[in-house]
Amino acid sequence: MPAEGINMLFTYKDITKDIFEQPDVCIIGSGAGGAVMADVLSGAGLDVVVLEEGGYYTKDRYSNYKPYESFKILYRDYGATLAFGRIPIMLPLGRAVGGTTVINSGTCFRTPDSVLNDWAETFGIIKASPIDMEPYFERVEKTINVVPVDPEILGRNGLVFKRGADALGLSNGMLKHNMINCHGCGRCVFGCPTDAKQAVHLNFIPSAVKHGARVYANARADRIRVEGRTVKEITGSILNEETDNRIYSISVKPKLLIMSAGAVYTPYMLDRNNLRISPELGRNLAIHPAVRVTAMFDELIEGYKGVPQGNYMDAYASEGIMHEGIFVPPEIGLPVMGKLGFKGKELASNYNRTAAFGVMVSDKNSFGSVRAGVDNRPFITYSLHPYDIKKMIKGIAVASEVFFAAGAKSVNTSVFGFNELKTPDDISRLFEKKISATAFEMMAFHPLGTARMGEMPGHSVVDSFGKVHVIDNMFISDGSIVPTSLGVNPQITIMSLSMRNAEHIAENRSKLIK
Amino acid sequence: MAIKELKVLDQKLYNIARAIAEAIIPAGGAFEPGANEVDAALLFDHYIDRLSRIQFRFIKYILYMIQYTPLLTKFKLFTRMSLGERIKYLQGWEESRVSSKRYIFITLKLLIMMPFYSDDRIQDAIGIHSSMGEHPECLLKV
Repeated sequence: MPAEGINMLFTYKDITKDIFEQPDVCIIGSGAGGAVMADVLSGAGLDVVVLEEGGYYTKDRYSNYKPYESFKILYRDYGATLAFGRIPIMLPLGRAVGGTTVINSGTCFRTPDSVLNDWAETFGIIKASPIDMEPYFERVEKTINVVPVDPEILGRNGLVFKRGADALGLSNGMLKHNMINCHGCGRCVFGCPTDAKQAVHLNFIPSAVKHGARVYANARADRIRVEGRTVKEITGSILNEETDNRIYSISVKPKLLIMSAGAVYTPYMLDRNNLRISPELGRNLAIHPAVRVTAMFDELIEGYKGVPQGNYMDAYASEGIMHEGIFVPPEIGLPVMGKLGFKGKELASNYNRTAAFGVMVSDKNSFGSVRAGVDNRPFITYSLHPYDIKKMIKGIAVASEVFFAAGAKSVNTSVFGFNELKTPDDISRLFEKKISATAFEMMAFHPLGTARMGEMPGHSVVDSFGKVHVIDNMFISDGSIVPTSLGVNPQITIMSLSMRNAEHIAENRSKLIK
Repeated sequence: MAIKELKVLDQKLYNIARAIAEAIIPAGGAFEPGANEVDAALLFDHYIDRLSRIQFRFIKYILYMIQYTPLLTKFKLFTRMSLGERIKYLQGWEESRVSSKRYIFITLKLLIMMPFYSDDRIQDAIGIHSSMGEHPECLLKV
């Protein structure tokens, strides 16, 4: 029996034998890129099969998980996929029907005009100007219901930061989220327990299934067989969700393959299959390195109540520094706050009076790569450029000023050696000596760029519409085709590009699908 | 501790994990329960059962490293040290100038502290109620 209510969405429990499929289109991955592709292509009358390695989770299932259990179930590698460089950087990636949209903060930004114009100039990308993209942004935003966060559900964590930013006259506002009837329970990144966050498994995937697409959850694509310039077959495994053991095989012989496994797993899978389709494949990894600044207050904050990423401060956005709300429950926040023993317990007992905000930098100068590694996992490298470290320090200093302006007693910077700032005067210490990358406890989000678009085959992996330059029946449609860092959260960009590219495929089906 | 309850650790590794957990979260202080009151080492064992073989081996090495390196400087095993000595020793890891040592320790600390602070008894003790079941944390009640 397929998943209840979605009669063509199959999980491992529904499958009792090996699967063979011969659709028009096979899509690997069901996140922001794959889900939109599946919906548009199936809506255009094409026969579509989607393979998703992760399970199919609904609010009824993950509302029973505690946050730390969600890391184990909904994320890859317990939320700690690592990028190696001078410091290891944690890169949380989703693994579920809906991909990372199931576990992201729900923040929505359109691609900045300056970025779209830069793509045209630098990479020769056609038909992706701000005017070209406008209708796609609108349709995506309508489908996933993008609205500004209601201040009533912002919570005190967001409010104290706003108070500080307003006191300093720094530009700030409410973020837009994809949500309906959000109650501000602060669980966005652990799977929304009320289905308020409109992740793609609640809209594009059900719509695709309604159009006849068949979505296989717990289905991992292992091998991609290519002959000459043509993809012939994808073989994979149906996995037992509890153990990750293979229980059946799946074979798909599509006329067109679309890789939508994300900017880490798309290049990894292609490399693992020795499909070196471009020297640029797996290179140019862009991420948004981020740190969390926390502050202690006398007043009660209870930061876990309210939308964790509800507001932003963009006063330094032109310099590539964005401040966005972030708050996590104590079990996630306390271990990285740098205390143990009785001091750690004191910190825990004051967690209700702790506020936190995120600093995210746009990595114009840093670079990274993805290739197949050991243990059936990607090997990710990332080198943080000193210029981006300077931006990070400035962002931390500004966040600290804002917290002090809001009445904080002390600020914890997450920078080794500068952990606790007791007065605003201490902030200047951050600039007194050189701080190396190894001093940061860093996370990163929004991997992009590892199969970038462009019209010059030597400098890009896919063309302006996501078609792989050197393979006739393979497209890529996920964050990997986004050629540069955006400076903002990328889900709208990925979905909108995917919608545009899917329409291009549908319009040119006679040439592309043979 | 009956060994059959353990999913991935053996008794020896469990004992090391228990000693580490107790040093990270001792009983007493700002609130009463400590790691051993909720058997944080057992929760840790159950939590890491989905790690890959290589990832688990990495965790095992960290536990052994913490257990045996004090032999070089303190002439005793970590599990034989007093609580105060253990806390001080782990502080050395957490505040080490060698960044890789710090990162390794933070990884272990995360895996031990996450299940501990998720326990309802501990959330009660620190005055936080963030369990997901009934959404008590929602600003607008469901």
